[in-house]
Amino acid sequence: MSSITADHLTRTFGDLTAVDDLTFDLPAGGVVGFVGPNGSGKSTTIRVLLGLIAASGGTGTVLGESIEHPERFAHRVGALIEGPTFVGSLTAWDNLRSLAALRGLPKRRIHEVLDIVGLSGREHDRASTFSLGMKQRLGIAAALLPDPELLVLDEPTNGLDPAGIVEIRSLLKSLADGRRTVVVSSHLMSEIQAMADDLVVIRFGKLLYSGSLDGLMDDAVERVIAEPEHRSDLPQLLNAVESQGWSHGSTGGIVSIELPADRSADVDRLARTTGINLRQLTPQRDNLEDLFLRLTGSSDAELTAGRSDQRNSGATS
Amino acid sequence: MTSTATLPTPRPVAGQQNMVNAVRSEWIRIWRPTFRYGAIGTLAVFAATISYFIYSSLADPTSAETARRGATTSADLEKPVGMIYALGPISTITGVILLSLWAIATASDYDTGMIRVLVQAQPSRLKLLSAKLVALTGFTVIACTVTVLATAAAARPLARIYDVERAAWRTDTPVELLSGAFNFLVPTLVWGLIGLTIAVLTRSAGVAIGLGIGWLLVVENLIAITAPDLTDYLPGGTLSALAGGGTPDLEWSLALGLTTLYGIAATTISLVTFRNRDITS
Repeated sequence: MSSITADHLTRTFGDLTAVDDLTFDLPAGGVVGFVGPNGSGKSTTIRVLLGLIAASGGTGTVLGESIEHPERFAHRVGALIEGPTFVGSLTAWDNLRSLAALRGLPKRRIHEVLDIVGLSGREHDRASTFSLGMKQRLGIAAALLPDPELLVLDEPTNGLDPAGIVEIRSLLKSLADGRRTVVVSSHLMSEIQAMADDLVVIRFGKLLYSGSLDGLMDDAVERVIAEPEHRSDLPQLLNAVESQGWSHGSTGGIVSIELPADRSADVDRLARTTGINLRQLTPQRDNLEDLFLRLTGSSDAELTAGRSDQRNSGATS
Repeated sequence: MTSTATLPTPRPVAGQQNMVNAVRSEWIRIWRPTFRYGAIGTLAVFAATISYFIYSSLADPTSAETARRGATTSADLEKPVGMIYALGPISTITGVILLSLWAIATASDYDTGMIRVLVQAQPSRLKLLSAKLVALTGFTVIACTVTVLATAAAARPLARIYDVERAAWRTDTPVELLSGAFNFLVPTLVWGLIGLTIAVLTRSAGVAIGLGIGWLLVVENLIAITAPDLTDYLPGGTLSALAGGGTPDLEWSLALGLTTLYGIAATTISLVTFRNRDITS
């Protein structure tokens, strides 16, 4: 059973192709990370899937229903799209009451979602007086109102302090039980790595990866970082590493050797037999951010510039 | 924060998401304190203030200048409709206030991004906008009722102070009041519809209000200079004519017909646009 599928989904705005022939299949249940740099087309993809904007081409399904008929799945989906939105002059309670009324839900459901996101006791405060973190929680509460099978959250930890991020992460993981799928869109790789079971990675609206996080992390490279006590020993250490045939690189007085963590002792032995004392010997493994950069081959700034170039070339072609 | 994965509420069914729910949802947001006290309070204050100015600056009925300018005399106020005579002069400002309110209620959904949440929860856009029309109409009926009552309430003490004969006010009062209120309400509703339509088209409260008021105060006046025969048939002229119970150039029934046409056109444009366009802020 899939929670969301996309089949050659495309959306263009003039000359810009924001969503470019995306095809993926997200499993039901668990947390799915929807990852890409700013401006990569994540929000546009979500808006197309939820029926807010029309696709220029291709199709998709949400909870088994075609995205051309959002009325068939809307009551089973909760979403926080591009940040929390409320009427500032209304209380949190009235804001949720308005959305609960639209979905035909009882008032007791408002108490329940306020309790889930930890805003009980603040429901009679105006939304405009809430901090950004509280607004995020209120946004998640609004998305939870229909007790959704699919919860779609666009950058849910934006503006939260570290403690708030941990709380939201823990909440989202607890919400992603067997029957519920939580799709979290974010450009923060560490956040996604900490909670996602599956992953969709896009860049310039194109799919780079779709599958399990573990599957992607299998490609993670393990390294041992070695730093000689005296920088003058660096050439000698590099020669010794080369003599072992180990793949390596060097920057800023540090040697990065592609070896699994349990081979750290071998590096230490090699250095000592060469007469070199090490200041640092650290096993390291690629994180999602490293893998993402490897997939895209670019930094975030370069990607944004690339997007701009794409727009410009599209405009002039 | 409670970390629970088990939510006890039964799943709602699609059939429950009906028009009544959408109207209730809209009403909660529209009946907010800033709208409630801001718009209705402002209208009541305007009604009382303009009534005061009308009564305190009555023109001399024997003066030729009065006849030429069509200024208000005590004879105008002594007619059966005199108790709510001020509704005519305040109809334009009421229209501007309600145009602004409808525009803000509509465009603020785009400004805040609330429109995304609403359309995701209720994908039937026709239902959503129709619910907004119903809720805003309800609000406008209340606002106009308060304005009519404030006008009528202000008229009695002002008539006493400025020696305006009130004998005729006691004849046919309910009919006159209802007729006056109708002539006041219908153009006000159409002003609101125009505000909503411009807001749907521009997705900006500021631009919608600017265009609406700019049309009324600038464009129609410019057209009046270049093509004076057209003035009565333009939206501002037509709605003012209806609010005043008709004019020598545009009788009441024709003003009502034109006003209805403007209302139908605005509603159609807004519904078609809202239904077919992407939901973007």
